[in-house]
Amino acid sequence: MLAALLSLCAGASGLSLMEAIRADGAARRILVHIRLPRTVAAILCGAALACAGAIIQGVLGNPLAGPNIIGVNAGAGFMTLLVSYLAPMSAGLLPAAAFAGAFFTSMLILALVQRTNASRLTVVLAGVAVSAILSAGTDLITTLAPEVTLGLTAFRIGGFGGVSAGRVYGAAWYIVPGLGLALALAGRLDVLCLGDEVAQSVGLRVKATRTLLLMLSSLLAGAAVSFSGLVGFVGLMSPHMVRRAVGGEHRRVLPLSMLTGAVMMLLCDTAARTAFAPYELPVGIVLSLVGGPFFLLLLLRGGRGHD
Amino acid sequence: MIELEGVSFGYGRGDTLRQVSCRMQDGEVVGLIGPNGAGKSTLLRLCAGLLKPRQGAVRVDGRSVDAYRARAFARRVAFLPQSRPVPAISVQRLVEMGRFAHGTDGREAVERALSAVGLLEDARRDVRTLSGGQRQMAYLAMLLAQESPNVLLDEPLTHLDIGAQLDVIRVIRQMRGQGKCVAVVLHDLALLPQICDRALLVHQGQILFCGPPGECLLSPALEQAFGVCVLPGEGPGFERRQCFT
Repeated sequence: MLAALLSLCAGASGLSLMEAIRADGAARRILVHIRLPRTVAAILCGAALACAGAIIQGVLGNPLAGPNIIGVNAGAGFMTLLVSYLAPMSAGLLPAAAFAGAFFTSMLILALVQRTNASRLTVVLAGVAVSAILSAGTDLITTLAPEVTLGLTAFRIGGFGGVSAGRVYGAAWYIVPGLGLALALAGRLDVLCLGDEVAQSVGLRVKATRTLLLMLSSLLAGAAVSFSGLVGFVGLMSPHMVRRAVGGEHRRVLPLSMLTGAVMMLLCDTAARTAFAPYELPVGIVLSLVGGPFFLLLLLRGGRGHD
Repeated sequence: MIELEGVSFGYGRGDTLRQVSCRMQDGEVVGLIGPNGAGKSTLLRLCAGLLKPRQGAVRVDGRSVDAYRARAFARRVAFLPQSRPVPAISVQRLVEMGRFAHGTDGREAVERALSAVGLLEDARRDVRTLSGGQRQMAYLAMLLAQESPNVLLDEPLTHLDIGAQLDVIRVIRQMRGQGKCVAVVLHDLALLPQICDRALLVHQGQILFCGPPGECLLSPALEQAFGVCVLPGEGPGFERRQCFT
């Protein structure tokens, strides 16, 4: 709540807490049409990416996996740009396109893990390779149709600078039910973490559950990327911090990761908007500055923290 | 009760198991023994429905394994593989997962299971903080909470010290006392007569011997399978003495 209020008050045009509450006239318009959608965008994006990260880490049994690390965000971003290029007038299709890209990448990584019994670091390297391929695809679209990708730099860094209320509330139709479904499936994710054989032995339909969970994480990551761009590291950091605090039970990890992700995104976005005011940094830069060292620390520790 | 009738299975082109037929009854502990790679664990996985036979049929309580839905099958058969991850969850939560097929948390069943393995006071502990023996007991408690009449254990005594082995043996005996059909893969032949009512000697994908453990240890089939001669021993506490040739 505090982070959300801070986010509503902060910005190029400063509003005190009381002004924000009693806002009228121009201040009200700023609050309703600019600040509120941005705050809602940060909350939804943070919660969705953190939840997607927790699910992906659980399904792959890999603490180094996160939506941006294994290329899920890149897949969503590529498909978003591809649909923007092929059907420029169909903004409503973007969340679905992002979902398709994210899901395809997730399944590709899952197939690799299952076929080769890949180590944690191999999965990360595979994510780098997949991201590079998708990046090449993005560059191809940029070259063929520069007019479609005018906002490409901002999209790649990730941020909420140009986010519109319509796009955020449109994505909310995917994210809010997705988060609810994730909470309902938390118990199954716990069972899945016991390994395929034990999970099947206690009655879980392992393949169907794994596919369902990856679809869900793709839906969440895809919907978030469709309006925020390639925001990174929230999906990696939030579940880690939560697991460290409360252990590995997903009935606790998922809701607390959503909360942590939303708060982290709100605070980073507020910092990005106020650090060099009146200029704004994209939140992706702040997150990368925080998340990059965090990821390096995890690599140095050998990816421990989630067995 | 678990029955295998003319079951063949292979991972690649060859057959790991060939035309295997056997029956494991309720209220008995069947010990599966044999050299590494003989097909013991494969046989157990076929019974657990994790593998599908190329030929023949596997039946649990009179019905083909394929005829069961996942949860209904889990209410009939519980399987504990040899290698498992060590989850970052509490012992209580691990044991609760044994109730997944029942769709209820079954608090009483969970408490009974924890009490049976002596982990009631450690229910809140993180599984990662337990010793190897305690982890094995926690997983056995999960199996007990599952309340399945058929239990399959793949090498439950491997890597355990003697005290932990005795704890596991006590739980296996308890399962038999409850009328469950228990199949257990063993490597330590000295434990066979202490745990099992019947021995199944598997060698090169076939059953070489099926009968009382004592007879199995004296059977020429054992020497054929392992290249080991087992002779009756003498002295206090030693019923059998192994000599390796």
